[in-house]
Amino acid sequence: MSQLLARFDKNWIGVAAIAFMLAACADDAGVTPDPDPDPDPDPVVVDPALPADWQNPPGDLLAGSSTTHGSTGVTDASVVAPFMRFPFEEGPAFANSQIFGQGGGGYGGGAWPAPGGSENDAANFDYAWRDNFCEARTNPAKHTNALCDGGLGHNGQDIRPATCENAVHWLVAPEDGHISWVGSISVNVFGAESGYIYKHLHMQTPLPGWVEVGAPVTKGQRIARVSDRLSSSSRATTVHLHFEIHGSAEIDGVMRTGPLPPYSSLVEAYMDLVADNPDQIDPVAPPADITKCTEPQWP
Amino acid sequence: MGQFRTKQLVLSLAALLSPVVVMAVAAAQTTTASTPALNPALTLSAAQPAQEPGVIDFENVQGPQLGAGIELSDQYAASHGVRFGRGASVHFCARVFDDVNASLCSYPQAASGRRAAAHDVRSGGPAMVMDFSKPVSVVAMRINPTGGAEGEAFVAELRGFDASGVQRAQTDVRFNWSKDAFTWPTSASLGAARAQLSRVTVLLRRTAQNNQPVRFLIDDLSLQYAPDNAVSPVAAAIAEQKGPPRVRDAAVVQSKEIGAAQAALRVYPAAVRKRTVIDWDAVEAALNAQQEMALAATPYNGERFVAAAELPLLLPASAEPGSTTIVGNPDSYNATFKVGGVTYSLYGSRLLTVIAKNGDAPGVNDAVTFAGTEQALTASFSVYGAAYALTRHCADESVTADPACHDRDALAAIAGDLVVVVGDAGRARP
Repeated sequence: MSQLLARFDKNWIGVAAIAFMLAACADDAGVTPDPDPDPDPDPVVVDPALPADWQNPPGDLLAGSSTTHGSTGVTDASVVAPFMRFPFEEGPAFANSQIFGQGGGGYGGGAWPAPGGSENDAANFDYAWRDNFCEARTNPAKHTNALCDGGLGHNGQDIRPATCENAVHWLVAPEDGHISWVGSISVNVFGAESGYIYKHLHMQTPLPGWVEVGAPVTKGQRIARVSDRLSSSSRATTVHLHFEIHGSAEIDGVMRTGPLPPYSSLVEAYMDLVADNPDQIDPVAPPADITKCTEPQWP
Repeated sequence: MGQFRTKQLVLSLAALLSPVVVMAVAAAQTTTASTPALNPALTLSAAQPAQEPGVIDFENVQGPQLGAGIELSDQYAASHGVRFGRGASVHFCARVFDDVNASLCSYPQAASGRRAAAHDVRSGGPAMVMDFSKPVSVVAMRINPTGGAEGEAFVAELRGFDASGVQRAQTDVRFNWSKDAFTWPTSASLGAARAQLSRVTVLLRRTAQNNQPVRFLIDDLSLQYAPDNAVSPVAAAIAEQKGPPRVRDAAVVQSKEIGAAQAALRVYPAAVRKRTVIDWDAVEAALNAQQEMALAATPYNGERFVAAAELPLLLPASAEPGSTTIVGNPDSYNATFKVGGVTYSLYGSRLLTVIAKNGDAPGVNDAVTFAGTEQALTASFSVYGAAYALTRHCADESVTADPACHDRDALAAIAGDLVVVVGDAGRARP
């Protein structure tokens, strides 16, 4: 409920819709007292207090970072998973590019350069959010994406947790459903409501037996920790979640199954998270012991 | 004992085999309740019999009987359709001649009769290789090390490959010296109901020596020849697809959590989702054809999801027994399974999310599109009015470490083994 109330000030249409509904209720209430009054206290509009312009719009990639050296990804802002919970247990969280952020390696041997710096730069752990679905990836064997110009591009959205600490921050199930895959660095969830497959990559997967294929999960249940793993033996990426939503789609009248753009769904889910947890909005100070960002913290 | 060359021996041997093959044989011979017919008037046909099994007891190989043994190569090519690779030989194991110790038989006994076949890693490489001119679906044998320390562990690794060289079956059997030796109590086998194995390799590792391959003996090699595989109705339906799978009949649906008021409070609009219309007549025809072919899905976990599904489920007919797990909801499902030690996923849905792309992508006019990632290779297609995606997962989620995981032909071969399954809810043709 508070999640919805928190949205009242976001949208004039929403305010008008609620006002209309309240007016309709008042007409009835004028003649007959409500026999079952809402036990909830008076509505309190909770302002998530996110910074202005805390998120760039869907499809607005970093300049020059698309596969075609442009800055346009999928601009269709449709929320493909409006029922989704944010995949981190706690905020703040920062959706942005890994390879084109501070400390990233860029792409294509310098064809798409990175700014340099450190993975742990404060800029990586601050707003504004940035879409990186369809970000430059050019190997046709590894980065096919039917939604991106030229058919190549990043298949998901990268999200950094509150800090760069490795294997500390919890990934939680985005929906009620079942575990559909457990790999060496990934856990996938089949959403019982949506029918989507939520793919989570670069995870420090739980100890054997914690989650296994076919096991039921509930929305918000812990399933893995965010790490810097590229494989069971490689920790060559930054501490982040690579998040994908897979499902079947109608694209220009054609039926295809594959990755769907997750950015706008994450925006909505994040607003829900911080509306209920306003203390989890602001960026936090990096850990004093920077080794925590490189050493596994398990369990 | 050595003169038993009948199917009875094969069956009794199968009963002693690992559960893998016992289940695989069961899968081949049973049409399960998980593939109900839309047309109840049709009765289940008897399981399609495989061709007569064959047994090689290595007793009648011609040549000198003493010393280093008789080299095995094509002695059984005409009679059984098998050629042995380098390093294979036949040895005399009975204590009849004084020089029995000169053979590889550490104990003067064969599994049956007087002779057994050996593989020498020094002359033949790590694995015994058997190439079949007539594909087999199941291979079974007794296996024995030629020596060991008391309590020492061994692992027999059997691998099966199709004519394209794609691994389609694997089995690892662990046993110990000497309780699992001397009297030949250890059986090893591999196979699957619809497997068409053209090459089988057998390798024995000695765990006490860094898993180094070591020489070994086998005896009474049993072969189940593969039935002639007709194209499955599902594979035929996929192959018939021409051009991009256009959405024809679909109705807009709204999630129960996307009411109008809630949608109005969103920063961004909720995506439109559509539910496709299933071609149940085509599904029924496929089910009937499968029954006539005695073609069924490998038994799976997740029966309740199948029962509730309102779309036709595509499932493998030759998965490793016990490896298939299904999750789902009425409109979508996901199955994971293993074939030849490789893990696959099959996702299907009749719910489509309407989304606009950014620019054109190659292959948009293809009926089947392949998408590769660092972790997997996926084939996306549509059949019976629903959308499906078959994925092969790379070992350790790395195509760099497992380049074979991006083999499109191998993925297509798996698609050729798919069958259609309809549950209770699906029979109402929703």
